[in-house]
Amino acid sequence: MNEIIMILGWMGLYAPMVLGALGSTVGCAIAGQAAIGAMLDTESGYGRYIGVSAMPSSMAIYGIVVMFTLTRPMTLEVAPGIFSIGVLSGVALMLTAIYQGQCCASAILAAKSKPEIFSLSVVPAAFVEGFAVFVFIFALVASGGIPQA
Amino acid sequence: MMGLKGYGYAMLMASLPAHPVDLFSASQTPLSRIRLDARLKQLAEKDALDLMRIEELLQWSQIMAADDRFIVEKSGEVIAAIEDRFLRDLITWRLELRSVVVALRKRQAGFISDARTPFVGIGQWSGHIQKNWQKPDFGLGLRLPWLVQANQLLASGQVYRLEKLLLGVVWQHYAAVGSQHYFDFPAVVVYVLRWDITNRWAHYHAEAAVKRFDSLIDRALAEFVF
Repeated sequence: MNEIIMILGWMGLYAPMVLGALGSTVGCAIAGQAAIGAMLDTESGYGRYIGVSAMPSSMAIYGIVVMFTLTRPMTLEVAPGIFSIGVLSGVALMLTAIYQGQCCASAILAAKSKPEIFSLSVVPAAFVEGFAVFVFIFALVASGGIPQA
Repeated sequence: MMGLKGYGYAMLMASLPAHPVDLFSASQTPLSRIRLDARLKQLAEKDALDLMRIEELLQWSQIMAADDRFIVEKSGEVIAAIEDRFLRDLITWRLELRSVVVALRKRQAGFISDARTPFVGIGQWSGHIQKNWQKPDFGLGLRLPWLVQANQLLASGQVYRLEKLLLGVVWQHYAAVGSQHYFDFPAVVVYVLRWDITNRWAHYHAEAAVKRFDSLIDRALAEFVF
């Protein structure tokens, strides 16, 4: 039983990073494909499309920071806390990255046909980013409650 | 994973220029057929085949070469081969609309639907049309609001305006249902079908439309034509 708890603790430590990175990969891939498609159909504004398609990458960075914040000597006392915070924040970061990628793809599609709405079209993606920041900040706050050893 | 299925053709859809909001303001298609076909090469093999079948079925001119039995059978085959329910409904809707228009044309041409020579169409309205053959709108005026006007235009010989009305009905339907899909295969199909309509309108001439419709009416006398 103790071994299982320890394994879960290590999984929780790595989870925010790996799940955040997975979400960012999918999100950036969706938005990136839309950006490439938009570049085929337009003569300018390429940088904007690529820039928007990179937005979901921030969740991987949040995940890495959460992982470092959770890093401490793994014991039976801290493992459950690390597992809980790590897995839950990782899943949340993954989903926000995927949905932000979908928002970015829609923004690119809309802005391509109507460039004047570009800044407004990325607002939904910014909202999603805000929720990812909530997850990130409160994961940091909650990890402060886990003893160092 | 979490709704990713709907994003299979993000690049393809983003590479296609938007259709005009108003069909009748379009003087040309958003892109040429050659460029459209080049972009459609991104489709998976099965999707490309499905799209080809759907386009083939809904291309009025190609269907004209066939008889009614072939059309009904082919329609059933194509619809059955499509896995996506949205697309099945989309094709069925279009074929139902054509069935209603065919019924109008056949009645205009003097055909009488009775027990011996019943009207045969595709979709949910065929039985209703047969039962209400003598009613101007086949009793479908409330469900198909454009039908009353279509019947009046056909009766008064305003075939160009009738064609315009029907194209507008189809265009609006595609626009409405297309708003449920943006980056998946149904979105691609809706885009291509709207492209077909834009292409038809862009190459339209009032005179040609009249001639074409006259020929359809002539054919309706002899055979069942969709």
